[in-house]
Amino acid sequence: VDDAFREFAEQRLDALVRFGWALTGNRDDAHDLVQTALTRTALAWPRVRRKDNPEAYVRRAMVRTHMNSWRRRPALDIDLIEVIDLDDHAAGDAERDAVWRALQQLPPRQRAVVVLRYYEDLPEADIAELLGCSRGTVKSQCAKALAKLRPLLAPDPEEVAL
Amino acid sequence: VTYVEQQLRSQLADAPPIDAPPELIDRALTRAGHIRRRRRMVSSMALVAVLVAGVSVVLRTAPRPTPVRVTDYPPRSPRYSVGVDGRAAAMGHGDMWVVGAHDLVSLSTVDSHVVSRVALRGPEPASSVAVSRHAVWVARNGVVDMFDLDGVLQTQMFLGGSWRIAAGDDDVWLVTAGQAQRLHPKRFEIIDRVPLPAGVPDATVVSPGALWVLTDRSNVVRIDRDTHRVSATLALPAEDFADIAWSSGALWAVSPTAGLVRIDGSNFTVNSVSAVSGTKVTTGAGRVWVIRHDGDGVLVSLLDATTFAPVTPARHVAGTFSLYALAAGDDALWLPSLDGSVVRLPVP
Repeated sequence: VDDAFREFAEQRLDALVRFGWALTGNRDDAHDLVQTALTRTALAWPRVRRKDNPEAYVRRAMVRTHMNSWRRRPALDIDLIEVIDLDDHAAGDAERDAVWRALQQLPPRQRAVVVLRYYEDLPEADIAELLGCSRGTVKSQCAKALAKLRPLLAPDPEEVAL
Repeated sequence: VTYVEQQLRSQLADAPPIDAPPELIDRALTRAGHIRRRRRMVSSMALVAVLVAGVSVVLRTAPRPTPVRVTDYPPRSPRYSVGVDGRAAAMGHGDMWVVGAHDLVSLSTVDSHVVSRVALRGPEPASSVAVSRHAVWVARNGVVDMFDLDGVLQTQMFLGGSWRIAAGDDDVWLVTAGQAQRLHPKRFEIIDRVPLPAGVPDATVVSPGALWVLTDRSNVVRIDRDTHRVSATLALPAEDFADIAWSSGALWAVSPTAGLVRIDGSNFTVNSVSAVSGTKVTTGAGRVWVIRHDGDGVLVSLLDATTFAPVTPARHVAGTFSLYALAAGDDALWLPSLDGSVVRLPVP
């Protein structure tokens, strides 16, 4: 059991960490999130393996763990939230920096919807299943998130339509 | 597609690489192992708890074996309040008579209610009681009272000295140091005086044809009730015998140390028959009762008069008892206590 699980985890670890990073915006939190989700997956591995989509199970565990842990955290001043350290990887990329910083200001549920929709490129139905909510909720959460991001990301007051 | 959506798609897809340390997997597996072990331990403990609870339920609900009862000896020990500090007792005419320091009470052996109660006249405390065909006799220090069977005082005789009293159907005997006196059963007159060998009388009892007197706690004197002469003097095997009683053709003597002795009524042979020791012996219904002091009460032993074997295990009865007050009927032993009650021990 452990060997099969290890093989799966080694193959998908990079993608899972990146997904965790997108959810948390923080490398250490991303590592913790991945480790916690992998622990849960290892415990349920015989059942997860039978469903032929273990990665979906891990991602669902990551999303739900992220939202639950966020609920348990004390309220933080937005200025104290650690932003992604992009200097090592994309120095000078102001636009990308702005996108990640803007994501930090979203509530966890809206942020999870945005990450799943625009980073993982999942359809609304899959997002709804991952989050355990309806498609309508996904759509409303996504609309609210975009409304919050619009003033942060738009170069000028008038949004540019393509 | 809005500008914001375009920015999100392009910038998130172009996210920089981030390190994914393989030890995340090891730590996850290690932590999963710990959780598995903890779950197994909790499951084991829960299983043990369920088993323990199940066993306890089974033990609580399982039918318990009925305690083995040797006999109904006695199933209970009823106590009847008589208000007399029982110092001596005797059976007669269907009643049990108890004499205290200053009272005489009769208790029905049928329904255990007090039949009569009378206060003794004079300050002398009573020490002995006997029942004859027509009267109840109470010996006190220097005084002998005769009551009728209804408890009414008939005659009082001042004799001086300390007396032991024994009564047959038609003869009453008063015994003191050096002599025995036979009284008329109705007129309360002294009919005859019989000299006794020297010695202090400790107990006396009437048997068919004889009066037996225990003297100096070590000798038994037999007086013929017809000839009024001493017919035998027997030495007992110890010097601390406390009481004598008659049953089944034999005299029984008990000692706190030497046990129970049987003296054959025909050939006067003395045999130690039991190690059961005591301070008081009485007989009834072919059985021999012996009591002795035992802790906070008395120990009552019951033996068969023929086989000398214990009829039941000795029975402890708690209470404050005179070690010389005891009366046995055909169906029960009556044990007066000094605190004003009477304990009835049924014959098994």
